[in-house]
Amino acid sequence: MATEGFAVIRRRRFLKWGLGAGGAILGAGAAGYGSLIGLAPSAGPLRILSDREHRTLRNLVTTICGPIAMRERHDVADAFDGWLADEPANIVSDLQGALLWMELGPALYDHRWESFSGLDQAAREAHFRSWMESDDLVRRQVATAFRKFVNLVFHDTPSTWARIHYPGPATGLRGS
Amino acid sequence: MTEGIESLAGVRSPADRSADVCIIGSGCGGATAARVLAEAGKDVVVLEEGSDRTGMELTQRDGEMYDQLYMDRGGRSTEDLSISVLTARVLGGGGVINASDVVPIPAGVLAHWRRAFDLADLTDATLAPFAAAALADLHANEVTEAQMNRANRLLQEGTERLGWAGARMHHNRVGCQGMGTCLIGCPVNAKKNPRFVAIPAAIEAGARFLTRARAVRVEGARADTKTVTVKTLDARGYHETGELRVRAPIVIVACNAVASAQLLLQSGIGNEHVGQHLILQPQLPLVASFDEPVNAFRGIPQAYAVTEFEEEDHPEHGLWGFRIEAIMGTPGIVSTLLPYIGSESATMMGRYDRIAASLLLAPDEPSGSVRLGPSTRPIIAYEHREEHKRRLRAAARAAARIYLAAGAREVLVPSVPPVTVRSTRDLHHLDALEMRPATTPMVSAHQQGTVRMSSSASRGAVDPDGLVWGTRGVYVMDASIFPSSASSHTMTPILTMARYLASKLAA
Ligand SMILES: Cc1cc2nc3c(=O)[nH]c(=O)nc-3n(C[C@H](O)[C@H](O)[C@H](O)COP(=O)(O)OP(=O)(O)OC[C@H]3O[C@@H](n4cnc5c(N)ncnc54)[C@H](O)[C@@H]3O)c2cc1C
Ligand code: SF4
Repeated sequence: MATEGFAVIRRRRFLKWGLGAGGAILGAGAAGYGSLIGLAPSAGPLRILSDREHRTLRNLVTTICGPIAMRERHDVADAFDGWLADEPANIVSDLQGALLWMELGPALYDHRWESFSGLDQAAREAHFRSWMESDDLVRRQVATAFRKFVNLVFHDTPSTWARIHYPGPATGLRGS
Repeated sequence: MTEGIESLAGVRSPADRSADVCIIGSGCGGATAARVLAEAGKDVVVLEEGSDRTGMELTQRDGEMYDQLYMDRGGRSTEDLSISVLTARVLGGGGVINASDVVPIPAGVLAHWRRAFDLADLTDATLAPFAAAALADLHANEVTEAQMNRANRLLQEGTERLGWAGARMHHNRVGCQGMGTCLIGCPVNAKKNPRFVAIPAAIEAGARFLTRARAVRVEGARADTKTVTVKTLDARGYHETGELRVRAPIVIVACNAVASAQLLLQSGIGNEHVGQHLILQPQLPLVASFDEPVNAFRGIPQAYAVTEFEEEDHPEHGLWGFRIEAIMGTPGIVSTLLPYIGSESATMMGRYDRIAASLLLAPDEPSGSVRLGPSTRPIIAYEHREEHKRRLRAAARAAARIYLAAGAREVLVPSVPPVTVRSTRDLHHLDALEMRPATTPMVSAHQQGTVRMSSSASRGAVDPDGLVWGTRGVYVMDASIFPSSASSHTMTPILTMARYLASKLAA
């Protein structure tokens, strides 16, 4: 799938930023960290992602594609989990780090004691847009990578086609 | 199993093989070389890490097809995420997923190679029979008036209103049904690409093709017999499952400009030029919105090109300037290019049937490199030079003027932040296009130059026969040998050069 960048987010720099950021939050103590990102409901059987990571991803889907993606967001997050399961180990760990970083983003960069999943739709969009436009290359890369994956899977879903006036493949194939 | 094509998918203990010639990569270069050498009586084995997909196995669905037909599951990119590097991974290579445009090597480019790289043999007269054979194999023909969809017509109308030069393109489709998914494979096999021309001819002459077979190392570059270590892959091509060796006195590397350099680097073969001088020809997409339905998703996506600003005989670079070509994709891939999120994204995609898109294509100087990474995937570095950005801005201005002349209500360069033009008064907005990494969805489809040809080892990695300097019998015959952009489209140049080099080798 078109997931540019997952392979190339520079690992060392990414870890420096991502873990450094996580470390700052952890400095507030385990209880503070827990209260920030909270517990996520079970997302069903997953191959790689945790329930929390799956929740971050579901929220990324509606952030990127809009509230119209409410119905498909679980499937898109599942697709990411399935895709990740066949990626090289360094990419899996980078992306799990990226999901945590995104989740902690509002606390780290917007000076508010909120997680990404704790924001409402408008605030999530504003936060994500700030990453897209950031002067920090790594945040732009993370935003780009998630934007590409989520868009590709969401708009490849037949239930989304009528709204965009796409009649589907000319052969009538629906694919596997 | 189709006769002559053996899938090694999931095989754990495959038998070793031997041959006169082992060719790595079954794309434009590899399939052509296989055919020429098999027809000359050589025993040829071709290794291909992709699978064989034809007809209705090409499902027209973004997710599955990018995953299965492209390297790194469609996710290959420069390390800073500036440019999506699209390369094929399927039996038949790039011809299976390309836009089918047929553009030979311009005479000015050959003159440039003779001048700048001392490639004295590469004259029009020498290459003419090979170019003619390539065009014949491609069944090259001009897109007809009737095959032009509305999106291509809009580009043509705007161009003609401005009095600029443009032309319907030549292509390699026969029996095209206008299904519009050329970039993720043609389900009616209308493209006369290597999968349907060179590969059957090579098999007819006795060549064997092994799929889901990834070459990871070539040893014995100076020895009489080379040994290629090959990993078999699972059916989807995600994980390695087994290993075999192929022994042959001659090895031809034809994996595409990124993977060929990667394989040579992995094998420790070649001089300091291997992996350097990468040309990406980064292309910038541009989207025009119309009030009328355009339905660009049906019909031939790329049928018309604006050639007004192209220079085919530039004294310093050979091919230079820029061209503008219509393009379209399926919803998944189009949505990945757009710079909007949330409700804005939904609104823009709601106009999917009313957009026409173009790619702005400007040849570049070699300014990239390929190096080995921590996994099986290479790292691609690329310096996007200001001079190239300047030509892309000029191309965006020209394209915006064309679409406005054709009646567009808005023209968008899908960067972050988006740059929009609603009238000619807005054209200066395009000057603000910074093209910072990870803001602008640029794509590269024509990678070249990483194992470039030169008459001396001090300036290139292969000699004028395609032989890797310092080896005995390791050749390269794909896009990596071009010392500068061979053409605005690389398939026909590769078919030409591979035929030329393989014929020399056969002789
Ligand atoms: C989206 C797209 C559109 C394009 N449109 C056009 C167009 O309209 N007109 C045009 O002229 N050109 C076009 N091109 C460019 C053209 O298709 C390529 O330049 C051409 O296919 C490259 O030929 P090649 O022989 O160098 O490699 P390829 O054709 O890419 O073949 C290389 C093959 O080697 C295999 N391989 C790689 N590494 C290994 C390994 N280690 N072991 C075994 N196998 C391996 C790959 O799986 C692949 O199948 C397009 C390219 C793309 C990606
Ligand atoms: S436009 Fe023609 S060549 Fe392209 S996919 Fe459709 S039928 Fe095949």
